[in-house]
Amino acid sequence: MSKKRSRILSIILFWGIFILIFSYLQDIVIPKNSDRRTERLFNSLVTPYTNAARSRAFEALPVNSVDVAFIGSSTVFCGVNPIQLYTDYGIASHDYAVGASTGALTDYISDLVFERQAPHYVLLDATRLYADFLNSSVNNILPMTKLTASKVNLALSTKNLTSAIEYLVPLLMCHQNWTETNVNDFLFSFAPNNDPLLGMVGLVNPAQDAQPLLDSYQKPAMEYADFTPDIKPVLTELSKAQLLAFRDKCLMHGAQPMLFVCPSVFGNQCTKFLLELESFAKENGIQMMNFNLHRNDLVLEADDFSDDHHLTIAGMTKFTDVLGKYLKNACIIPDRRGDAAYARYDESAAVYRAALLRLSEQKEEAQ
Amino acid sequence: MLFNSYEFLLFFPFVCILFFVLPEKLKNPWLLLCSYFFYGLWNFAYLGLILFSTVTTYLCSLGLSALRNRNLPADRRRMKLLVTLNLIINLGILFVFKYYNLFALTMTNLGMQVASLNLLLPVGISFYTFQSLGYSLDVYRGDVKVERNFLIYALFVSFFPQLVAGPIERASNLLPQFREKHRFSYESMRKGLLIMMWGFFLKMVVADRAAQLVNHIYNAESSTGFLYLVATSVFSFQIYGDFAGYSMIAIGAAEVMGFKLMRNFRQPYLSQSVSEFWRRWHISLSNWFRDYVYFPLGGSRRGTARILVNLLIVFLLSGLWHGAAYTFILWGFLNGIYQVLERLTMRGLKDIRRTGFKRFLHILLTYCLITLAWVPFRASSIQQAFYIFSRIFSQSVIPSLQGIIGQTNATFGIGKREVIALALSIAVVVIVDLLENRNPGLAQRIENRPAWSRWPIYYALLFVTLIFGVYGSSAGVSAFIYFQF
Repeated sequence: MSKKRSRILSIILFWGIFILIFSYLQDIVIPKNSDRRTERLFNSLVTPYTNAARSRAFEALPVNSVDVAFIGSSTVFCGVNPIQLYTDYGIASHDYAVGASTGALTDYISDLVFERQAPHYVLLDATRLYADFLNSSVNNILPMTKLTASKVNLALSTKNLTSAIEYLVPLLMCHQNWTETNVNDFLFSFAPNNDPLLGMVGLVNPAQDAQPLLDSYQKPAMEYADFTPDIKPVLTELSKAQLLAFRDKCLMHGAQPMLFVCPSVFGNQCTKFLLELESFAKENGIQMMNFNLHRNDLVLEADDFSDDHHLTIAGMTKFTDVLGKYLKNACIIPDRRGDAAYARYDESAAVYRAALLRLSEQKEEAQ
Repeated sequence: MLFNSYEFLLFFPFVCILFFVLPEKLKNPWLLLCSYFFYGLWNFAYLGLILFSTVTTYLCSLGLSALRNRNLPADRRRMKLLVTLNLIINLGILFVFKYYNLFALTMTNLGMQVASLNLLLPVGISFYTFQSLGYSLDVYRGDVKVERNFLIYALFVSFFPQLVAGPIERASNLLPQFREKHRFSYESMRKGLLIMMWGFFLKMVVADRAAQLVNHIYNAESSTGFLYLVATSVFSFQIYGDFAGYSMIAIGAAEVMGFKLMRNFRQPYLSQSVSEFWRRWHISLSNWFRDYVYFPLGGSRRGTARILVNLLIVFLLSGLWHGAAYTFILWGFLNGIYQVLERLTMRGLKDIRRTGFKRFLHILLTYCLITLAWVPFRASSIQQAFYIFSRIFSQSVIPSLQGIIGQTNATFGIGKREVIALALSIAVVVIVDLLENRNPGLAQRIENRPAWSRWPIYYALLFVTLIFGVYGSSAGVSAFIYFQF
């Protein structure tokens, strides 16, 4: 072999090995689904990487199995429990909400959903549609998602070289996580994504001073209370454009777009914005359901609030029940329970039921 | 553009690929274009300044050469006038942009109201000014032939790897290389990339992590003498990692393209005396001051008293070169005093080859002296420098190890793991310097090894930098300390 050829080969080999090690290390340092690292109990679901948990669970779902997809912010993943929807109503769903999501991020998330799934309904969290800009919330999800055309588009749309490179090469964004990695990150780096609760997360502890939150929630709709002075939801032209783009994308993929608002103190306070949004949505053929305004079936107590934006698992359970009934009545969604193609969901439902049983036993023992 | 930015990671391979693909006659214009782009990314307006400096020194050197060639008795005086004018113009620019505000402050402190200017210090102005002045002084002395090709001369002044933080190249070394043919060389690429990788390690793993600890302690209102001692010791490696890191990346980048830049650091903390330290630290600047200031002042030929005065002058100027602040002058003064004392006390010992424990003691003593001098270099003001000295010498009680380990975040501003990583990375630097100090050096020995034993070293260096380095949007890209000079 000539010297030139052997050098070319050695360069290729060197960089090939480099890419292999790089990929492995990237998997080590990106945020993890903590189920893979620690045993997760139903009543200790607070995880540091909630976005990672749901993102990885989404990857593990059978392709084209989801009938209802939820997109939004942490209000959604603390309010909707997909595994409960399946267990109680047979609705195969997944929530792909991202903490502190923005309207702009919706576009990318909906792309992710349609890349793997063909949902009949896509429910978008209406309370974050005023947030037009791409901010650090992108960092909550991008390291965990695969390199696809939509990811490249999102990276290019930032018009910032540093952000674009880091979006596309998560190791560069997450390398500082070496300060938190432990031996399990190495042990489980090759383990399959097999989240038994389909990425369900939730907040356990109610707010320290929950009663004022409940009072605020029960008051008639207000405009931006004192504790959220910097957040002033306004329906901008960009928000409208994003909503219409979302609608068109859903329709193009044969899905019905819907807007919804999880119960929260904050949601109650932006009623004016939400009414304006609902009116615009209706004009454009998008159904919207603000659960802050329909409280007949939903009785929340102080323990159900974790803070002004989020429900606890107790609140989530109540709301998910109401949501399940609503979806069953308002939409045509097949009951997938027992369907052979949904064995993965049935297994998860069994784990969920066992967790519920264990929880009630623990409660009884405590009493 | 910073070497430790993603922009440079894209810029450098692009420049190299086109450099090797282009025909010979387009290589220099391409490098000049890239160098101006590289510099212009900081502030395009300051490209005018570098161009002005280039034009004035170029024309001056042409004039000097013409006068020398005529060889008339009256031209000797004209040459002096011309070179003085050139010095005034270029040092005048440096004064306005770098020293005017210090001058105004000093005047105001003395009771004369002098208005300050709101000017941004152009990156690397001291480096390219000194490089171009060195060239014109060489032409004046007849040490180098004048460069008539403006394009090549402009490239000599602005060659992007060493433009903003050195090494301050000599015309005799760099200028002829722009006339040579540059073909892709696998060996040069391999060698250059290894040097660059080591530079990135020094900057991103050692210097920038050390900066977090040093900044935490130095920026606090007050701290204990022991912590100031720790921070100053860590700073000695921060400044080494930062500056030697830059030089390594510059030398490596040039090497990839087939250019040989002068060595700027030679394991400085293994020096056995302060004077040896200055032969190993920022070698290009030390040589500049030696050739253009120390020797013209008489060097070592005019008796002990004059030597000592010359040394003090050189180090005061060196301090001032580093920054327009009293702290840098104090730093230069301390180093000057060290050298004076060394001359007075160790004259008969300079040729003794020390071995074993004695050698270690001299290295340790030199390191301690140099590190103490870093206090004013790092301090934000002269008052802080004296305050830190007073704390170090009066309150250096060593706290319990348990207390430090239990509260690394509060004590050092970084977590326990980061403290360990920093300590290990400093240990690696010391070990590498010890090995490099032998003959043949570590780099040479690595190059001579077969691929199977070289590659793990390359991978280790690459991935340690990628994982443990401080960079990216989360950390922010930190500029090199010497850019401000």
